[in-house]
Amino acid sequence: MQRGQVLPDEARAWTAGLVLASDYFAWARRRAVSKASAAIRGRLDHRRVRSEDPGTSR
Amino acid sequence: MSTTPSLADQPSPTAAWPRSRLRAYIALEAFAVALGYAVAVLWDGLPTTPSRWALVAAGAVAVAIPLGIKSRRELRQEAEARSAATIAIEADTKLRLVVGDVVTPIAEVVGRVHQAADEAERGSLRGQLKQLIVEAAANLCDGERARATFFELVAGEMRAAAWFGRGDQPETVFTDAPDDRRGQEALLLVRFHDFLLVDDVRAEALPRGAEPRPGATYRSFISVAVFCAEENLGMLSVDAPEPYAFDETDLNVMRAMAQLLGAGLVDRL
Repeated sequence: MQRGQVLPDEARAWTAGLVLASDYFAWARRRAVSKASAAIRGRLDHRRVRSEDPGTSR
Repeated sequence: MSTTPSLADQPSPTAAWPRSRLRAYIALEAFAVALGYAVAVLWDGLPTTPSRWALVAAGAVAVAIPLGIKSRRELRQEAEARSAATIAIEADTKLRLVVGDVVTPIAEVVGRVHQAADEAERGSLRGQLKQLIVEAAANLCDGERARATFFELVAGEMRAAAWFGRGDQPETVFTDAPDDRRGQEALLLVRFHDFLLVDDVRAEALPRGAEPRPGATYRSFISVAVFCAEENLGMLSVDAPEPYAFDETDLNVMRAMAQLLGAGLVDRL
């Protein structure tokens, strides 16, 4: 289960002009890379497990 | 932002990938094969003549060649899989940035523009929105040292109302004057709700009026009309000093940014 804010505090701070765009995008990029890496690794691992499982692979 | 580790703590997509055990397996396999061959050779004692030594050496080469070919193929396959994963991570990163970190907060500002209590507040929010859009465009488009500018259409002329990116401030004013061919083309682009992506202003045959002014510092650019329904509001541009700095994804980012800006700048009837 996941629950969180639609607009994170960091995004609110950027749109309100409280943080520099460069700081906001540096933070957002780091977070996006981290989450994307985890997501892609998870998908690849999931696919690998499925292909190694004779019960589910064709 | 304190919940996110610093840049130094964050592994890059490729470095973060778990270290492969393939090299260790290959080394182990090579060691096992070499050991087996040595045992087989020494079973009857060391070779005693040069011809027997030559035979042993030829046998070792014959054993090593298929092993070497196999390991090279496996390493190449692993490298290809890694680069595919890196590309997938980059694409996923951009999607998250565009949708989650840019479009979502900017859409909220657009909503606030239309909820503003008075013209002063609306004007302030619109100024904020223009700046957010150019900051987002410059940061999301792939160009190195990209610069994004919003040229606002006021009384038939377009001049820079917000900009972000590399240093030099955009000074171009697009007018409908007979001697301002570039201005006429830019105004036509807005009137027809078009976009224009140019990979290299020096290498391509450009439509008349789309060529850069003398001394311009960019080689590639995207310009997109900003409008809402029939109301023309201006032009959003991003440019970069490198040729081929932008691609189809950047164009789509610019189209989305332009439409968000149009939604925030248009007056409610």
